[in-house]
Amino acid sequence: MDANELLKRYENGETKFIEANLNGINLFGADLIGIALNKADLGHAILIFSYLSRGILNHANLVCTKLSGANLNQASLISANLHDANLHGATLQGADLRNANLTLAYMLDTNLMNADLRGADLSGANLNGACLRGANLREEKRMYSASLRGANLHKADLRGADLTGVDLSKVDLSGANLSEATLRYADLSDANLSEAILHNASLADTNIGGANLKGANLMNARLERSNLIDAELTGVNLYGAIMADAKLTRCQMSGVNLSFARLNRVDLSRANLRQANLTETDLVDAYLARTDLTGANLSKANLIRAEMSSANLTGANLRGAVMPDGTINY
Amino acid sequence: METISSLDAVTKHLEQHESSKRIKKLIYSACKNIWENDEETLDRFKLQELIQELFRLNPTTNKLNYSLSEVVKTLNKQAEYAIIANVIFHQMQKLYITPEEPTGIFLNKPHQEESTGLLLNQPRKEEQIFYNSEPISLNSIEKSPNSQIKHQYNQFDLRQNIMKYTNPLRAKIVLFSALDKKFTFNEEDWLKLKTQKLDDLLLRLFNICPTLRELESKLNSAVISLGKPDENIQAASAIIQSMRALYGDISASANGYNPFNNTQSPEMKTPVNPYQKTGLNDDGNTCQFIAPPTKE
Repeated sequence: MDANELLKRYENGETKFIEANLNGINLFGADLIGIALNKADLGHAILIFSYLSRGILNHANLVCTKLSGANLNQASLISANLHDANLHGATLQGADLRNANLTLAYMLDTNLMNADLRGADLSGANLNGACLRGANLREEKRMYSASLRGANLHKADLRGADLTGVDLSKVDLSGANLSEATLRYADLSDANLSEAILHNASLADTNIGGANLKGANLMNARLERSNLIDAELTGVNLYGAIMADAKLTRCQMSGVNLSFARLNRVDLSRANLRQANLTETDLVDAYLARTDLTGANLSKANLIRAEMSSANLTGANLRGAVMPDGTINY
Repeated sequence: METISSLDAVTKHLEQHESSKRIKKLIYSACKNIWENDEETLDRFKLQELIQELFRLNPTTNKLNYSLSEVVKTLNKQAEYAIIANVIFHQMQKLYITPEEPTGIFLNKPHQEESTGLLLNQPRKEEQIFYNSEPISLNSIEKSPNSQIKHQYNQFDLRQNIMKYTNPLRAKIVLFSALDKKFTFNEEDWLKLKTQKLDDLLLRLFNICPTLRELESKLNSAVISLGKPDENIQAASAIIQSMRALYGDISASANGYNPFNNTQSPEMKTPVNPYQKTGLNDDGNTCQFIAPPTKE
């Protein structure tokens, strides 16, 4: 079927083109709102600026398809194959992309607000500047397991996105906005989170080992039981963060702001906390073996039962701090 | 009317000031929203009437200060005119004194003061800032905390709004055409567009457009050059709508776009463009500058 025939039939009221062979078809700017193209072959097709909102493209073949600027709002693309597709500036707001294959897809400045991406494979996708606000990538056991491994999410908008259990290892999330996002049980190991905004983000039980968080803002974030071993946290703002039972072994945290943070039972062994701000930080039962606290401000910190016999406190300010044995420093 | 006599005194003082010409130019500009170098035009207006007009347009001292500083910011001799603005402000604040206040040297209340409640978060302290000898404009306005500026230009909110109300790629094409050259849909332009993020295009446009009007006209020209109007117009108007708030009251004081019915406190409408480049060529005549396109 060629483009003329398809457009004519669509104009005449036909909307179902199930399993149609449309490989390489040119439908630039075509208005095909609500069309059903389940299992259709649209590989290498040109669908630039086409209107496919509320279209049904489940299991469609869209490998290498040009979809830049296409409107796929509320479209259904369940299990569609969009490998290497070009979705530059396309809009997929509220689209259903469950289990879709989006590996190596080009999604610069793509609108994926509130899209359902559970189980989608976005490995190696370029999502630079994309908006994924409120998108759902949540892992559900034996059902969905989304992957963003090696994806580029530089400056992406992920506010309020659900990334529970998602594989984000080695992902570039530099400058991204993850405020209010849920990242519980996610794998962020070795990810680049420099300058990322993580206000109120939920990172409990998350693996952030070896990640780069330089200059990130984690104000009031929740990081209970998270693994931050060997992470780079220099100059990070963790004001008011909840980090009970987190593992911060060998973390680079000089100049970090941890005031009013809750670090009960945290493992800070061998961590570098030079010049850190730990004003009124809760460090009850913390493990501070060989922790470098040179020049740190620990005024009014609570260090009850903390193990700090080998910590380096040269030049640290302990005014008003509650020491491990319960005495108060004046 | 208690202000009449002080109006005479203020006018006299400003007329006799060594920089009276600049004073008149600045007051004229703050009233008319246009910079005027032509002496003949300026001569047609009496200073006293201009002062009166400026007073009428700015019901509070805060507003006056803001209007003057907004004009100063558009000039190429900002330092000089900041001092002039300070002179005008110091004189004109006498017009705002309520009769109960004996001198007005200290703590004079603005005439239509903050009793509206709309300016509640405008503490007296702020008011006093204006009475010290610092040049007013660039200090009081641009010293506003970073957080506020960031709050004003939030790239994530802006991008989200644009994506919500138009096609992101269409928006990029319109922006590209407004900033660089008409987008022609050939391979080369596509490749160029791929190297530019929506964020960067928006910020660039914001940087080169000191006023909302400027922004509108740039986008309109782009739309016209692109032809195929509907979708491009839709995209351009979505961009304008989304960026309107960023201009706050700049449009009001510089363009009369949103005339003086806005009761927000001036500090709340802090100028907005943290990236605006200032300080341009210093040629003989002062001119209101429109920043040239940045070479990036």
